[in-house]
Amino acid sequence: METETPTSQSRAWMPLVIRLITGGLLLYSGWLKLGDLNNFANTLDTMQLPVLSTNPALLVLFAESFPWFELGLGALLLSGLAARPAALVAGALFLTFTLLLVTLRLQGFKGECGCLGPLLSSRIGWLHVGLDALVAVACFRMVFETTQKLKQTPTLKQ
Amino acid sequence: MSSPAETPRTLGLGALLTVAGLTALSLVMPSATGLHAELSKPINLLTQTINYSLAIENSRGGLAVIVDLRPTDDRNKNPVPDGAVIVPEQSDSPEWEKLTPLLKSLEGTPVYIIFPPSGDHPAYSKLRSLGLDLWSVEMPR
Repeated sequence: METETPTSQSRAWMPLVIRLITGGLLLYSGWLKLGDLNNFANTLDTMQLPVLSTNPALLVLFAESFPWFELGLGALLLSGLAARPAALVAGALFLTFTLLLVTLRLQGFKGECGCLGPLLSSRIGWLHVGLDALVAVACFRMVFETTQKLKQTPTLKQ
Repeated sequence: MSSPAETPRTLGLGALLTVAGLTALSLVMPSATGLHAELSKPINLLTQTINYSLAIENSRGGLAVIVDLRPTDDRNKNPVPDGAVIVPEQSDSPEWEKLTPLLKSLEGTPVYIIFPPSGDHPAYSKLRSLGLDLWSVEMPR
């Protein structure tokens, strides 16, 4: 039977911290967007995103639905309900944000990020890209580590 | 016997169910709460407007640049004296590669836009994304 090393014990709190930070970030982000949905819709419009840019009705539907998706995901992460699947979804979401921001940045897009309202109201920069990438990596790392931990725990015999 | 949560397959399934559940929630909540989004109409979005004659005068004086988004027929019938910047209608046109640096260099310079008499110009969103000082030109009737 494997024993827990001091390093693994000291890192036992990491998944909880990642969950709380990512969940809090998603809740805050969703709440800010709900506070000014029109602004969020117009920010998405200026980004000229594939599919959405040519379909205003779909863009509006996405703009008014997405904050709820963020709120729900944030609530799952904070509560710990379905924590690992939720962290996997959050990782994929932040990875998508990262790729989108890199693409927009390389295209020379100068609009606002629209992600965290006044907290990050500046134009899209590498800071935004870095933060999103960091959260994505943290979420994937959490899923990976908790999976490894589950594999190491003694199996139950019926 | 190992817990079902341990396998990558069940983790993937759990993630799919999470996405499905959250998507259903996000589609229901706007109607349930009455919180809806609305896109600004492009022509009304610009609060800065300028008279056509003054726009021509400023353009001649090198104080501003005019971008003409009208259809070709309208442009030919009533061309802008001393010319205007014409942009491609498609936002993915290769011409944008040449035009974008030029337009970006206009940062700080007023850019007067002559809108089509009706409808929208697909390039308008592209222009808005460049963060320029955009003005709407009020055309004489």
